Amino acid sequence: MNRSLSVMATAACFALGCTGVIGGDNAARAPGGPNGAKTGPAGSPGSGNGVGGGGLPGGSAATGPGGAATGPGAGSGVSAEVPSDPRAFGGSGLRRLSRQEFRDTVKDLLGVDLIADIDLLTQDATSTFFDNDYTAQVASPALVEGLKAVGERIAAKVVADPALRSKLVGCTPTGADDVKCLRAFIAKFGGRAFRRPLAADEVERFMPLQKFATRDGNFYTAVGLIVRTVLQELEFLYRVEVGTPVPGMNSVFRLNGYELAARLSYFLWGTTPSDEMLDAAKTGLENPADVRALATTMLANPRAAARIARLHAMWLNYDRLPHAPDLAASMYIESDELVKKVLLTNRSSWTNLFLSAETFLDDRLAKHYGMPSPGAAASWVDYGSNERRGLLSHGSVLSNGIKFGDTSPVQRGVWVRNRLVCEDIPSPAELGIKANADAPPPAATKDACKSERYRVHRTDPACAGCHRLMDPVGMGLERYDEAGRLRTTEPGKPACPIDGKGEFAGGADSFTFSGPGQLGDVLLKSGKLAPCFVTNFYRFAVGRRDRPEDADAIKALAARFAQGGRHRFDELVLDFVAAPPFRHRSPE
Amino acid sequence: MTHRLSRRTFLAGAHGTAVALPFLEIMMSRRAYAQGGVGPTRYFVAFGGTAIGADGSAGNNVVPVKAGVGYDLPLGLSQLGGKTADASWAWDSVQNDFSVVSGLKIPWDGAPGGRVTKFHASSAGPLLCGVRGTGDAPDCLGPSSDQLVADALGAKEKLRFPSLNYRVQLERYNGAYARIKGYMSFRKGAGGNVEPNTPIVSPRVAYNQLFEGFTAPSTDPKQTDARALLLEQNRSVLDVVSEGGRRLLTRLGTADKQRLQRHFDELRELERRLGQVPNQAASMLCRQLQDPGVDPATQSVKQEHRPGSPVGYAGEVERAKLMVDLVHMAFTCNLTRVATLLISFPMSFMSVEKIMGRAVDLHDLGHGGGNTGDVARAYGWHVGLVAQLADKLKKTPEGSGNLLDRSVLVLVTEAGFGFDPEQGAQNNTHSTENMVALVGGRAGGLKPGKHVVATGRHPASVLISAMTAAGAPTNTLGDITGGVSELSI
Repeated sequence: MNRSLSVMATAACFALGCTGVIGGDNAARAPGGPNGAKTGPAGSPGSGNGVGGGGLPGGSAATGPGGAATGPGAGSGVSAEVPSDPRAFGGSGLRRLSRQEFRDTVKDLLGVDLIADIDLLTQDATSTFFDNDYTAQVASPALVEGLKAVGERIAAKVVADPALRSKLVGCTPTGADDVKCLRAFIAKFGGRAFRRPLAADEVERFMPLQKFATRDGNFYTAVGLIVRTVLQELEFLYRVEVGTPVPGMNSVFRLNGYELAARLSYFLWGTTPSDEMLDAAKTGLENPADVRALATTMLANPRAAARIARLHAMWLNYDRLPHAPDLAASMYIESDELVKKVLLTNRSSWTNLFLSAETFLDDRLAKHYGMPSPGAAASWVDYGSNERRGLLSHGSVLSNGIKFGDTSPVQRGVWVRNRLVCEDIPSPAELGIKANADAPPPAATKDACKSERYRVHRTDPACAGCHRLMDPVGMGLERYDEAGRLRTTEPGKPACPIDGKGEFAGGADSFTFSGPGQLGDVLLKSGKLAPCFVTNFYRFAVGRRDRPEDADAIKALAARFAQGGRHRFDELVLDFVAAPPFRHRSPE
Repeated sequence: MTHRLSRRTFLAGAHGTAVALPFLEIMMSRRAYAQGGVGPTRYFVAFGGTAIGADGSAGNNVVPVKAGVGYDLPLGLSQLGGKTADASWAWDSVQNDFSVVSGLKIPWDGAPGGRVTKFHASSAGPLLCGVRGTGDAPDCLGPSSDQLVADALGAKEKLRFPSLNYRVQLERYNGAYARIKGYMSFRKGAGGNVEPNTPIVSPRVAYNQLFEGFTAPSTDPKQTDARALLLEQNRSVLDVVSEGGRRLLTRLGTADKQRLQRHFDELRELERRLGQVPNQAASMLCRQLQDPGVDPATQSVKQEHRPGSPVGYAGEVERAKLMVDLVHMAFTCNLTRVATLLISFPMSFMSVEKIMGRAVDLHDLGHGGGNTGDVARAYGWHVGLVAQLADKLKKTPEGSGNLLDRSVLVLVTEAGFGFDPEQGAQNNTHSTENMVALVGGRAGGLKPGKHVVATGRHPASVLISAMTAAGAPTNTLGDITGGVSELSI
C-alpha cells in the first residue's frame, strides 16, 4: 500500500503530459516510489535517502518525507487490532536526546533552563518532519565541544545558586571532603540522569572529582564537576535499551521497567521520567494494563499537552514562525490551545482539529484576523459565518508556503501534499523538465494578475501533469495571506480580485473547495488525512522514517484510529504504548 | 615587540606539569625565519552560496573589466580595496594581495568533474572537490582540498587541530529536511567513505575549542595557575566520561555499539587535545581573544523549517566577524594550518537584511528579488570577510615578513552567471559559467594582484594551484587535472 499511493501520485503527475520531455539523469527513478520507500544507511549525510523523491533543492520541490504514505480509507480488509508481534514496530537503535529533549531534561533534572545557550549545541539533523530522528544523528567534534560548553554553563549556574544546589544535592555537607554526602548526591542525581539506579561501583567512578573540592575547600566544586561529567556521559545523552532476550524469539529483547519508563517519558513528555515513574518502573510496568494506566496519568500532565502540541507543530511546520515575536506567540497559543482542547481536554475526535468552529484568540490576533475581539483576556471565539474552520485557518499554519515575498500557490500545494496527505511531488529537475522553480512564473505584462501568471503551469503540458496537483490547492487558500489575514485582491493590485476557489485532485476523486475550512473538510473526506497523520505519528514515536517492515503496524494503527469514525488521539496513544512491540526491541 | 620567551620561563609557567615539552615553534621559528627560511603555510577556503549576477539581466558587477595587473574593482570586489566606513570593522586595501580568476566553468555534459543538471544539488561538490556528485545533494564524493592540504601538512607536524571548519549561516534558515546541510569540508573516513566535517557554528564553542588550556605567552603567573587548574579539571571530567563510555560500550549490541563508537571516538579526540601541551605560539602576537559571550542575535530568528522566504535575521554579520577573528588567531597561534569558512549555504535562504537594508534572502535576491547591483553587494559581503582576514594576517608579522606572505586564501561561490542548462536560459544565476574565484596571499610563490581570465577552466584548477602553493603539491583534485599557472607568474 505504501508504494502504490506514491506511484499513484506520480502517475497522476504524468497523466496530463510530460511526453517526450522526460529525460536527464534521474528520469528512471520514479519519484516517491521505490526510492521514497527505501530507507538508507543511518545518518548518511546528504545521501538523499529518507527524503521523498521531491526533496531536491529545486526550489518548489517537496522537502518532506514521502513514499511511505498510507492509503485512503483505512478499513477494507485491514486488521484494526493492536499489533501483537513484539517485532511489529520494526528495528530500533540508540536514540540521542534531541536539542529540545536535552533542554527539557536539564530543566527537570537541575532546574536550569538553557534558553539561548541551546545554540551551543549542534542542530538536529533529520529525515522526517521531526527533530528526533536517531538515524540522522552523527557525532562530530562540533557536537562534543558543544556539549562540553553547555555542561560548563549549566554547572556554573547550578553551583552559583544556593537554593538550586542544595535541592539538587539533598544533603548538607559537613565539609569539602564529605564523602558520604557526595556519594548520596551522585547516587541520587546520577540515577535520575541515567534513568536507572546506579550500582555502588558506578557511584565510585565519580568520586575522584572530590579532590578538586578538597583542594579549594568547597564541596560544591565537586558537585559542579559531577554535573558537567554526567551531562557529557553517553548513558545520559543516549537512551540505552538493552533488555533481556525473549526465549524462542531470535533477536527480540524485552525492555526492563526503567527502559520502558524512559521510552514512555520521552515519547509523551519529551523529557526524563519523573521520580514517580522511576518508582513505578522499579516494581511494576509488567503488563499492558500497567503501561496503559501510567500513560493515562501522563496524558493528564501539562507536559503531554506541550509535547502533543509540538508533535502537531512539527508535523504541519509551524513550530517556528516568521513573524514578530508577539504575533507569533499569539499564533502558537491559538494552535496549541486547539490541539489541547480537542485531543486532551474534550478527548473528542482528532478530526475536529480541522473542523472546529471556534478558536482561541487574544485581542492582538483577533484584530490581526479582523475578527471580533474577545476582550482583554484571550478566550474561545466562534467563527460564526466566516469560512474559517479548524487548524488550517490559523495564521500559524497559513504561514506555510511563502515564496518571493508572497503566498505561493505551488508551495502551499506542495505543503498540503507532503504534510497532510503524505504524497511527494517531484521537482522539475527530477523529471528532467526544463523549468526554473526558483523564479516566479513569468508575467506577460507588469500588471498581470497572479492567477494569470500561474496559468502557464496549466497550459504548458510539461508542467500541468504535476502542477494540477499543487496550484489548485494553493489557489483555494489564496484569500489568506502569509500571516493568515483575509484579503480579496492581490497585494498592491486592487484590479486583481482573488476568487479563492480551489480543487484537491486525488486518485479517482476530485474535490472543489473554497478556503482553509473547506480544505480541511475535503482532506478528511478524501480519506488520506488521518492515515497520513498516523504515519507521521509513528515516525515521531519511533524516531525515524518508517520502513517497509513497519507498514503493517501503521496500517493497523490507522485502521484502529478510524474504527467507528472515532479518531480518538488518546486511544491511539494508549493502544500504541500498550502494544507488545512498545515494550520490546529488535536490534537493527 | 621584543618579548622573549625562554624554555625556562615556559617550564616555570607550566606549573610543573610533567609533560614532555616539544621544541617550541616560537623559539625555533624566529631564528629560522630571521634567516630567510620559509615558514609554515596556512590554507583557508571560504564558500558563499551566491551568484555574481541576477536572473534576466545581462552582465554582472563583479568581474573586473581589465585583465592582468592593476585590475579595476567593480562593486562586488570593492571591499578588496579596503573599508573604512565602520571604524570597528575597517581594513586597508588588500587588492594587491589578491588575484581574481574569472571565466571559470563547471561542465554539465558528463565531462569528468562536471555536474548533474540540478543546479543547487550539484554544483558545490565539483567546485570544492573536483568530483561529480549524485545530484541529490551538493556534497562532495571525494575529499575537499582543505582536507588534502591538512593531510599533507599534518604528516609533517602535529598541530592542535588538523583543520578547523566553521560556518557563519545558521542552519535554521534552511529547511531542516533539505538535503543541503551546510558542509564544505569532506574527508576520507576510516572505512574509505567520504564524510563531511560538521562545522562549528557557535563562535562560543569555537572559542572554547581554540583557547581551552591555551597559554599564550603570559607574564601573569596567577592567570597561568588558574588556567592550569581549569585544564586539570577538564581532563579529569573527560577521564570519567570516557570510562563511563567504555563501560557502556561493553553492554551494547553490535549496531548500537557502532552508533555510540563515533561519539566515543570524538570524546577521546577531545581528551587527546586537552592532553597536549597547548603552547605553540608562533608569534608574539598570539593572544587569547576576548570571550565572545552568547552568540549574536540568534534569538531573533523565529523560523526554522521553512525554505524560501525571508526570515528574521540571525546575526550572521556579527558572527562572521567573530569567525574571521578566530581563524586569524588560530593561524597566528599555530593552532592549525587549515581552516574553512562556509559563509552562506548553497541555495542560501539567509536573511541579507543587514547587508541590503531590507528583508530579503540571499537566494531570492538573484531570482527577481534584486538587481545586478544588489547581488554584487551581497557577493561583496563575502569578499569583505576574506579581505578582512587577509588584512589581519598581513598585519601579523612572522619572521621577516607577515602571515599573509605564508598564507593562501580562497573564496569560491556556488554560482557564476550565464547559461542554465536546466531551463535552457541565458543570463541566469543557475549557472556554472563565468564563475569567479579569489586567491589571496603569497605562500608557495603565488604572485597576487592580477585578474586572470581563465575562460572555460574548471574552478577546481584554482584550488589545485592553491593547494600546491600551500605545500601540498599536486596536479589533481578529484577528476580535475592542472592548475591555473598564471597565479604564480
